[in-house]
Amino acid sequence: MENFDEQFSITKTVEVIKKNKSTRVVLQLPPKLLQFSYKIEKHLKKALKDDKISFFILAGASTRNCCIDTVSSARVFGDLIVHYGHSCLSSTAQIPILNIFIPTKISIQNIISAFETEFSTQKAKQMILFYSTEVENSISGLILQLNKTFPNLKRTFLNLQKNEEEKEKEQKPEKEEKEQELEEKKEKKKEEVKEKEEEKEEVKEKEKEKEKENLKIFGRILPITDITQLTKNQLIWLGSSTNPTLFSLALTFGAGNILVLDPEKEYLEFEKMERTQPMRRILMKRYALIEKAKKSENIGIVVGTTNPEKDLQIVKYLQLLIKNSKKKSQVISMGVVKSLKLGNFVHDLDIFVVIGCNESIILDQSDYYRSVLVPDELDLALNHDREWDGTINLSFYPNNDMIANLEKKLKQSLDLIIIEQQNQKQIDNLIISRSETRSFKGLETRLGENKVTQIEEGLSGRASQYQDEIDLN
Amino acid sequence: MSKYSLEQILELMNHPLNIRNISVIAHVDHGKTTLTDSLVSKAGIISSKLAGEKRVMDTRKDEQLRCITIKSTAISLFYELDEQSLPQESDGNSFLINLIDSPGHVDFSSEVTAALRISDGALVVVDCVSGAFVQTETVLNQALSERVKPVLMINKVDRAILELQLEPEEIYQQFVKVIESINVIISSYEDKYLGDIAIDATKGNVAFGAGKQGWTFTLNQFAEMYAKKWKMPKEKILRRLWGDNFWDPKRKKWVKTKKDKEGNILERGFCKLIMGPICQLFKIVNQKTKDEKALNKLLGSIGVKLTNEEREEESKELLVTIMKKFLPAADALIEMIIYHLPSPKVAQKYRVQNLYEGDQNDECAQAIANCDPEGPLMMYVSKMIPTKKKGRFYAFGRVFSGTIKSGQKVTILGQNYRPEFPKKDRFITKIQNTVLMMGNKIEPISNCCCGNMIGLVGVDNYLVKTGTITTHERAFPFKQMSFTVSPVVRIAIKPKKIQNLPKLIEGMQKLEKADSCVKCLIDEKSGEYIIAGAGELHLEICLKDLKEDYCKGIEIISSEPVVSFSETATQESSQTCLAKSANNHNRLFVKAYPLEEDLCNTINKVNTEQKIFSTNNFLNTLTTKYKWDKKFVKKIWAFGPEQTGPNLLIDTTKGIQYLNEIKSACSAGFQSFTSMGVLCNEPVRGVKVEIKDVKLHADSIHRGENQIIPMAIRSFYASELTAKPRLMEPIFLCEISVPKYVSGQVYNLLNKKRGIVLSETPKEGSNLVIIKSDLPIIESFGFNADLRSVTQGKAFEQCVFDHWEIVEEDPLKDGTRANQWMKETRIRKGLEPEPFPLEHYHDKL
Repeated sequence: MENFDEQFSITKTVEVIKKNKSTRVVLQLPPKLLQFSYKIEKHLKKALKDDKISFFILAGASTRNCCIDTVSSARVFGDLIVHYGHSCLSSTAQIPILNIFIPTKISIQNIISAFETEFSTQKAKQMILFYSTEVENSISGLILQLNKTFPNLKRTFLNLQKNEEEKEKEQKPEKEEKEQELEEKKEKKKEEVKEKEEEKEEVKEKEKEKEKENLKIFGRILPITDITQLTKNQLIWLGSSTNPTLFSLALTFGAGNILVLDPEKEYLEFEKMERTQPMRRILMKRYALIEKAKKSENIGIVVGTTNPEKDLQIVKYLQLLIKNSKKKSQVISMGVVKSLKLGNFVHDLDIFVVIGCNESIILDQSDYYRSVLVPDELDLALNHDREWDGTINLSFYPNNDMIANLEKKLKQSLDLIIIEQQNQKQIDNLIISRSETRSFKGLETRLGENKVTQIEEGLSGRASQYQDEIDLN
Repeated sequence: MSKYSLEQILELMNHPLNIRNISVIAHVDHGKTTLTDSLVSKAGIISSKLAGEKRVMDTRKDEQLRCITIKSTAISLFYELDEQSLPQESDGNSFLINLIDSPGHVDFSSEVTAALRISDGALVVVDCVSGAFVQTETVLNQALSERVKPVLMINKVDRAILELQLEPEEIYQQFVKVIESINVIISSYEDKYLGDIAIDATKGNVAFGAGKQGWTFTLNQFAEMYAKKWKMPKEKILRRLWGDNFWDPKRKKWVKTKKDKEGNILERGFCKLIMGPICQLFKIVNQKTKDEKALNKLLGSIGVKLTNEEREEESKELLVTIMKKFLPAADALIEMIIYHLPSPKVAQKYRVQNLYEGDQNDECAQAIANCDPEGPLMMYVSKMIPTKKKGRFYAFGRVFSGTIKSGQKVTILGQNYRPEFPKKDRFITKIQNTVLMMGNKIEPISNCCCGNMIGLVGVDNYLVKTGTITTHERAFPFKQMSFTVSPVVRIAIKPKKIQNLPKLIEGMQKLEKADSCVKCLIDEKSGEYIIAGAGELHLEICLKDLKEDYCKGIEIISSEPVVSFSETATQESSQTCLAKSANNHNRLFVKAYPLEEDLCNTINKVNTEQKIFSTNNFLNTLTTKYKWDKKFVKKIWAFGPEQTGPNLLIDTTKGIQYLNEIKSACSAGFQSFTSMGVLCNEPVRGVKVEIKDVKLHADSIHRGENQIIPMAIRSFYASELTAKPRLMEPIFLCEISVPKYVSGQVYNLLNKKRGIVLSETPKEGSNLVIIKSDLPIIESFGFNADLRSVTQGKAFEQCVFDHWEIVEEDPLKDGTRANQWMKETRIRKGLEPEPFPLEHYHDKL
């Protein structure tokens, strides 16, 4: 029983529910964990002993499993979402969220010895540790131990939704890490005092602080402020080598700089990222898609997230980009992106670009009839100012300057068209309406052509095998 | 150095009657480029001393190094003829010959195709010792199907005299044999528009000579010489110079029999008057101690004067000097070209039907037929030639009507332009510059009138490889060229640094542009970047170009050459295969059947020539020749892959509601299936899929394309799996010429390489035998080197893709070679080594 409590953090959940005074709690579980949903609910109810609190289990989310399904939760007026399992941590939703990562057991001793064998001989290079959500529970202890021998190791933090209290608590280690290791409690108090003092200070000062704010990417808070610093560091991934966050990291920052330590393996050993995954082949495939995008005429922009406020910017940018390249675009809102859903558009669209969370890149496209890209790939394909450096930025987000720049360009090219038209030049736009080429042009009405007959009995039974069907073979 | 000025050429370009556009075509190593040297030297571009050695038309370094032509090269040459002997239709006595020297190696025969398209005449060169080869036949066939008129040059006569020590009579027999073999091919093309094009020595459309030594003659030349000497009409002598005309010295008259009444062997006119003196000259000059007296006498009789310096030359050089003076190669060739090959004005009249896609009576067709400089501009770009500036190309082609000017606004119709979709692949732009191609040099000119070959600057970005350039708004494009070589050998390439991938792709695109037979593919499913070419040599050259030119500075890693396989079915599916859609509401019942290889080839042929299958002609062929049921012929839903390949999807259902609705979805699925078969994602060939039954949901929302396409693909895969699927491997037709005494080793080697010998024919007049065999391409890698080592370099081989052959072994059974190939291919593509079992595709009810 205890074990179950620990695994699904029942106690913590109860705490949060009480603190938030939530009455309608939504439990979002990935399909793999759905079997435990009933048990979880039972345990929670038992611990809360409050009949007013009702639970809702989301079976089949309207987003990817790693994202917070705010849409479904809004349907039941949920006031707290408890998300279980791996998370991409990219939600910006306002509703309180509790992430429960199903922890894996790790042996701190083994990890330390793996570190020692790998790095004892090397000159101290700055290292940044990324870790999978599964090891979140034991990471603090591990870092404390590790920093004794490896002061050059810096950790990242998960960018979780926090209430005010937690925020204050956690801002401290981001700034001064070493102090934390020495005397935690004292420092904490000092920091809090400092914080409060700062708050009283001028607004300008605050803004300065903000500028120096640590970098946030892929749901992680990095111990650096500038993205260019990142590549100078040795990146270390602690977690499974098939974790999607790791792929995002490797694609965005290049796989060459990443060492992987999978704590679940029997024999712990650092491996180069390129060894564990065929990154080269993946990149070759991805670039083939970029090439394809260059030749495509009609591009579908698929919005696959549930926070449209944030995505409007990127949609706008992509639309401008496509228009600038004299191609046609269509925006589709889809929730979870699936090949069957995209299949409805195969006739009209040549390629899709999906706006989703950081981990929504679709690596295996064998089921898809049209290729599916991420926004950065489309930008690489259509933006002539860019040169490929061998990475794909999964956290691609256009700022206002980029949009303004495109708008300017579009205006220029429109002017050009007008001039050219004055010169009686014909601009050959490649966009062709596909509907003309469809062989099926709607149902045949055949009014008056069909014989009048009596009503016949249709099929009955389940779709997989109707009652009158017999196996032909 | 040049004997003429650019102005003279420019002036001549406006006189279509005095222009000849010709290609030099032949088997590899028969001496095209060397022969061309003579023509170039006559025009004064190189000195006559160098002619025969310089290989001016081999403009690339590797061409010079290997002594093999890789790219065809064009040059414009200017000649003046005597006023008295002008051909009937001419306009002054100066002539412009636009000449293209083409490569002879079979791997580069797409270059020949491109050259012939813009030529009206072809100078076919044949080595008199080894005779006509397969490649000679191939290029001659190509020429004839393009309605290009041939003339023949029998080359390397010096070899027959010096190396083989043949007697004049034997040489004559050799000539006759070569001419006959050429005439056999010509006679199979009866074309009333071309008229009588058979090679006939007395007509003068065949020349004999030695390119290396720079001499050539036609019978006409000798006839003229003797006519002057004996004061007899030329025609009378000409008759005696060929065929069974023997000189009876006793009776002092010509007879038709080999022997006189006493049984003495008589000398043939050709031998006595032509070959005899030549052989004698060779003999005298090559004697160790020079017989000055005999030499002087002979020189006197042929009217050659030597300077004192020249007299001191070594016998070998002396011979060349004398022969060059006696029978200068260029004179005979120019005469032959100008008299026997048509001018654009003449040729375009009958070629227009073969060239123009549109109606033969429209304005453009008429302008082409009349070679009208005032008509609308119609130009065909047949080839892209790399410029000195990296990555840019001259678009090289021929103006068929109108006049093209620098700075002119033109419409460009690309390869994919179809009059039905007037906006696709159609561009309007300005011609930056027009240039004349002069071997490795160019001459910018301001305009170019119809009937000429020309290079354009500034249109390369609009064209992939070929295209039509016009000023007429409603012009149809020129017909596409069909290439006889198919790219079946491929290598995968990747950059050492992944960042260089974009540059690599750019380089690949340029390579593809420069060579009409290279296919550069990006396989997005497997992430492979592939160059496909005609053979090992071809790929070697491509890779070299890529590394040293188009992708300079990038390190490229290339794989070993691999062949592409095909997948096929060998019997009817053992069961009706069923697939359900994802929502379970729709079902598709199909069966696969094998198609005859013959029909596959017919489909392929129709595809390259017409691109339309609905033509009644083709459908009629199906019913008459292949005995198909008419009602099924009408229900052919799709060809695949790419809507044109040799696989068929047929609807054999009856009375299914909404069936029309899923036709395009099934067709899309069929394209996907045929481009990537179930065994190892290789293209499918020779499979007919019949749709036996369909069950569709009554609501159209439940039978959308997203439901139907995956279902269709799965059912097709299942049908292939149940129809005894087999791999097909590509087979080379390999022709090896080798001395008889080492042919045993060749047989052994062929045996080891799974080759099947088709025939062995001795080459008469030599100790060579020609071995023709089928050789699996997969075994052909390194065959060249092996052949050299077992025969000490005495064998010469030429391989060209011939057909696909079914590998009899079961690819799904472990331990077979087919199974190994399948696994290798799958692993290379990043797939699981084993294909999925039938249950993965076939649903149960």
